[in-house]
Amino acid sequence: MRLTTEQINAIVTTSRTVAGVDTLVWLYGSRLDDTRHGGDIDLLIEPAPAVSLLDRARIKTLLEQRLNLPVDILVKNPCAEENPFVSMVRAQAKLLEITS
Amino acid sequence: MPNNLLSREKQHLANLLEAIQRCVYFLNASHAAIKWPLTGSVLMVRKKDTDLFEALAAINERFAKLQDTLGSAMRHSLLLSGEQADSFLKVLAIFEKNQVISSVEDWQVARTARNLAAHDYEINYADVADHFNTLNTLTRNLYQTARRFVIYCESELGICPRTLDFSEEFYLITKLDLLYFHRLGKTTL
Repeated sequence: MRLTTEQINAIVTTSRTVAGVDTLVWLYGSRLDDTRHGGDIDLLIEPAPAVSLLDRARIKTLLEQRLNLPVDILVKNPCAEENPFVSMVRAQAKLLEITS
Repeated sequence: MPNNLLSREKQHLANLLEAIQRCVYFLNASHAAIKWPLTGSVLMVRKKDTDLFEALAAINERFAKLQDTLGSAMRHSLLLSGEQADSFLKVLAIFEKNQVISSVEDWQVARTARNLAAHDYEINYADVADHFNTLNTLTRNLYQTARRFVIYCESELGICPRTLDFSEEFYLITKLDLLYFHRLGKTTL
């Protein structure tokens, strides 16, 4: 995975600050591939409770400010039906956890 | 007006100010065609209502146009005020200081929300409703930014919209919105 501990901690902390402490944050896409370079940070966020579009925008804005990198976020709200794309993403994603 | 560079710069800002007023006028017309707030169930029932979805598409486009035009005009006005801004972030910081925008973060969040909405709205009608309700909320803030910016240009730079064609409606629309904010007891989102 091509994220530092500091980046992971910033992603999880920021997401939970906006979306709630029980929010799960998954990394998917090219940042999981150690052989590649650069690229966006693709995140699947599962908030609890559900977040609005404005909260999604806040998470993306804050993360891009803190990481100085482009961030794409996909949100699966608890009440929303799981769509096939989210299932595909979760199948290959890695759950991010705060570490010290 | 003499044909020198400064005059052309002023003329360009005057054109942008008229474009801002025009954007507010048409965005408000699209907004008035919708019964707010939207719900997923209403959109599901009316999913083939072309008038409704054309009004929603127009809101997307006009909201983006208003925000982009305001951004261009703010950047351009700094050339005329002699302020240095080497990045758009700096432009926003200056207009936050001048109390034209509520905050840099509000502006950036509104822009991100608009882009998320433009990319995401599809066949989940609850999400579509959330997207447009969010734009509706952000529109009120954007109107106030437009109003404060037009007033700033007139008072600080002595530059008014190129014509007064949309001015009366612009001040009426943004004044009604100002009253809405006062009723809520707040000035921003």
